[in-house]
Amino acid sequence: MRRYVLVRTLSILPTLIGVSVAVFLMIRLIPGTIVEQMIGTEGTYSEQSMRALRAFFGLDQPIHVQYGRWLGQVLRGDLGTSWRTGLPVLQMITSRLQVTLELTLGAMLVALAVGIPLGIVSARRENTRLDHTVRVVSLFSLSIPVFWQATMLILATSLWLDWAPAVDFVSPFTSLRANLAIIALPSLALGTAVAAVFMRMTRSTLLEVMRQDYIRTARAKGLREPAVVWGHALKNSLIPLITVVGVQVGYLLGGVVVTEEVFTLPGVGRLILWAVFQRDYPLVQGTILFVSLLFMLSNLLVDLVYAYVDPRIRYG
Amino acid sequence: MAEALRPLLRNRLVLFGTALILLVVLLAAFADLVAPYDPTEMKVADALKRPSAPHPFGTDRFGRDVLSRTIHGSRIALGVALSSIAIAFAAGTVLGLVGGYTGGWPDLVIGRVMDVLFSFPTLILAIGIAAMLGPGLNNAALAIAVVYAPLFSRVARGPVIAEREKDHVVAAQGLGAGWPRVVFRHILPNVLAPLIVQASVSLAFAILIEASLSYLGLGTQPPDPSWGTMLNEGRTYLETAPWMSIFPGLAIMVAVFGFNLLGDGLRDILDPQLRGR
Amino acid sequence: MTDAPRPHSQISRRRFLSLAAAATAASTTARRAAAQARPPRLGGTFISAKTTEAPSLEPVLEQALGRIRLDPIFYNRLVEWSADGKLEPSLAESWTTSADGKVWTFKLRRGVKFHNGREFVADDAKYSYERVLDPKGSSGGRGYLSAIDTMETPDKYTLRVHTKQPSASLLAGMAGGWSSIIPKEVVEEKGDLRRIAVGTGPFIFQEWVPQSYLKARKNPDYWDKGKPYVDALELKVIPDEANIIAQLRTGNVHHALLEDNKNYLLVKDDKRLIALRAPRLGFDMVMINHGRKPFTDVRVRQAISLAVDRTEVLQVAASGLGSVTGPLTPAMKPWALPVETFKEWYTPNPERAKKLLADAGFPRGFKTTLKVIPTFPTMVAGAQVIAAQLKKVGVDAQIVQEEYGVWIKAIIKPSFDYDLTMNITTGDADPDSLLYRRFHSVEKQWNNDGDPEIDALLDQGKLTVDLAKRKEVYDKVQRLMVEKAIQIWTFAPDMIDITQSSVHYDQHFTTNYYGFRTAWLER
Repeated sequence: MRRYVLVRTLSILPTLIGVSVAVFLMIRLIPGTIVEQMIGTEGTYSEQSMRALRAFFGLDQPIHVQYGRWLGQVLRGDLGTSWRTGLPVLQMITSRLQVTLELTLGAMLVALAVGIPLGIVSARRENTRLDHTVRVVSLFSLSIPVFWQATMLILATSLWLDWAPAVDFVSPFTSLRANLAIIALPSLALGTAVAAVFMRMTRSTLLEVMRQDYIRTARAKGLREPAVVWGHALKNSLIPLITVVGVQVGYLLGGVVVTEEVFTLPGVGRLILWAVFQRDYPLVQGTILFVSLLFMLSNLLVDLVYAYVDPRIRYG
Repeated sequence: MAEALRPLLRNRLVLFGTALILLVVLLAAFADLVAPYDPTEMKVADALKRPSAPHPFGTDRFGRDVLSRTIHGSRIALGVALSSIAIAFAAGTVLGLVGGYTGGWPDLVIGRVMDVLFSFPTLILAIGIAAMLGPGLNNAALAIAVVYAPLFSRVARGPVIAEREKDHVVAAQGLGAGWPRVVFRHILPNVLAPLIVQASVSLAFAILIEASLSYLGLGTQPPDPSWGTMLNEGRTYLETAPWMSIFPGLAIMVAVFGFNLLGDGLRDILDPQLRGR
Repeated sequence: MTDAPRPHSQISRRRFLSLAAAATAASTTARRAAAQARPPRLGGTFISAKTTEAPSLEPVLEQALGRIRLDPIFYNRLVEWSADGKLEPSLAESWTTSADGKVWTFKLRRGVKFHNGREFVADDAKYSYERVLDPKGSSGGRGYLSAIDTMETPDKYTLRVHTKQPSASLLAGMAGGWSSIIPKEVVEEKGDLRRIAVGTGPFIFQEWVPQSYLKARKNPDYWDKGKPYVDALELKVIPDEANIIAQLRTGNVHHALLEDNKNYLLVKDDKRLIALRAPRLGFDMVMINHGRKPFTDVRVRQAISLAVDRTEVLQVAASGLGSVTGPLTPAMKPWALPVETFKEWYTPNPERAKKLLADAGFPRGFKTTLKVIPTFPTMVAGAQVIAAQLKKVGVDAQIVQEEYGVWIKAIIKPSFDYDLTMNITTGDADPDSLLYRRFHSVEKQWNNDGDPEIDALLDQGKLTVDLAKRKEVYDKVQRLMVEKAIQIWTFAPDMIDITQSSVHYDQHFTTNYYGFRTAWLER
């Protein structure tokens, strides 16, 4: 087990390198650079200033030199400086990370708290009215586009309740109440879709597992129903569920972009989007690398739990 | 197959889901015949009219008939969602199966590449790829496919690893079955259930990602009526002309709901324990 | 809009509101009039919201999208535009021109302090302009100050500027987008002014979280005594304008400049809010690439001009809230010719358009592309209407959306990779600043071509200082540009500012940020 932990943890490094190369190339493959945007259509174009700007940003260097320089910086712990704002990339990330993390966590909590119990209930009462209602409702919640849902909520509250969600983000350490008021709605919007996924996954795997032979054996042996469900079935349902949780974290980190955009929360998702449009290479690279690292760490955690739960899984 | 049909109630849901999808498919196929107006025809004088007899779904800001646009939108939605998820499903599942079953280097390489793709936030990756490829529906579908393939690969891989140790698999191997037979006959059916659930969920998100891409100009080009574009056009008119958003939104929900119901039904039918009987 | 019956409770609520609105509208106007007589109340934090912001605070390196430029908050210029379109002294108290028009002597204001405490002197002005003119630098403002040949500072409060030729637009250039006066030592210490702002302006920089908010506090030593009236300024970025309307309605935000004019229709009857409308300098247009066939033929361009129904475009893209425009927008009061002047080319005439196309060798029309940036709502709407209008005369324009970063690379020199493209500009108060670098062959920033007849006139306009004669020149320019369909000018949307009814705020015809200097809150 210890060997597995070590190897699995170290395996993050090559992936991180892979991500750094991928993001480095990807942003450069998208046409347009920051230079043209700075001149714009309103500015005065000149060959000389174009060249000077490109040199200033190091865009005139060969690609491997640019990459090497950036990678060297990163390995020294310096994520660089945003071309657009002049602020350190790390500072821009950390000032917004809190929001994104809170939103992701909030959505995940909502999803787990709502999805899993509903899934269990649905599976246990398979084919009853309750089961069908839960399934239908969860399917509906999956079918509603988040940004549409969110905009309708904002509209409804402003017109009928004369209340608009606050625009300033307040840290939970400053005022927990204000913070929860801000994060509740977006967490709900983002989490309900994932809740539906969890509900369905829990239900389907639980049903499958419960039909397995060893469950029938346990029942035949006279074990009582709750012991059967909780003891055997759920534990074995956990494996695919853990996979899905891991997958959903990745999905959430992406879905967070839309939610942040609609609720205008100052999170990392929106920052990445903006950086891509500005062609602010250091900001794009640094932010995506950072978020990827976070995601990889969460995957690592999932895999380790996975391995703990199912001793048969070992690193190949 | 008949034995696999479950009690009437669940059957009804599956039939209902299939009916919804058939509806969408038929609308897509016969859009030109069914839609009362040309979806791109503008009559500025009739802009932003509420739903009424001549325009049951109202008109949008250009005076275009929302009903006709919604009907034609089914073509784009279906096309993009099905093609992108089909590619993602096929590519991702194969990779996940191969990796999970073989282990060792192939698993390592595939896993790493998938991890790299995974590490990009979904929308950002879609935007990045679509931006690289250029505007247009085909490129958008490809971008969505690339984004979702790792999902299927990961969903397939986990259960594969669990399955390959199982008695019936070991038995089949012991009996001399080659790996394709083992994978497709013995492992895949048990892995299919979560994959199908995942596929039906992904179809919904594919439509939504296409909507986001269209908003950023990377998917549907105006004046083509994708539901996503319609939702985005209607967003700033929610107060004055909510019908611009309600109907495409409903259309998305109907289509997605149908896919999900069908997915559930398929999962039940494909349950391997039942097939044996 | 309200032709179908609505649920009972909503009818009563709406009727009540509209009655209340009518009643209080009168009292609001009366209140306003009374308030004008009152002196402004000092204090408070003025909160304004907008959907986007400039990527950085840099006054020199950033493009001049006036609506998102922050300069008037932190900086001053030697001269500035007044709210009604005149050039008035700011950091320069007065100026004289030599007889030959080539030497300008500016007497600068004494006792003005930068935010870091140092006094403003003539060397600062010289340094600021040199920075803009630096050929190795990236300032887009070079064109504004290109008339400047050399500068000298005979004493601390005098700046002497030598120009190669008499310049009619030098002052306008100094009042223009990139000419803020900045302190040298701050630039040298920080490298640039992207993330901080140190100037002589009415507000002092406090905090900036990009794409979130900007906080500034009142400059107690501001040279224009008494201003600003509020203690602090907070600019919030709220990307969704529906949300901004919600924030205005619920009182969380004091002011916003509308991005999408149709939202004016939502709030104009709301008794809690005041909507201010004024003509805008900026405008929308369709650019034509003169370097590509078939647009090299003037008849093809004229046909396009005749196919486009500008009023319809205005109606759809800006809900009719604005005006159809020629090359100089109605906001450029002394210069703009009335739109009726162009009626030969502005009245839609598909028959004549088809005939012109046939003459040019396209009896059955032709296929082309029309570029659009999807995140600009007026562009997207306008493009679809125009494409439909062009279709009627046989020009099949396929709409191609390009994200801004991609679009800008394709459009600007030297690529000029487009057939037709929608574009939008914040415009300029001076005709030379607006037209020269964009249309003159020497620069041809837009449209990729210059016309010798127009070139000659533009050269003349640059040098003619006499107002009446200058107007004649630019009248000719406008007529020629429309006749030769250099590009398709469509409309200038109104500038609409929405404020709480307890807020006093004045619009400024160049950029609304000037309004913050004189804004005040009743409570």
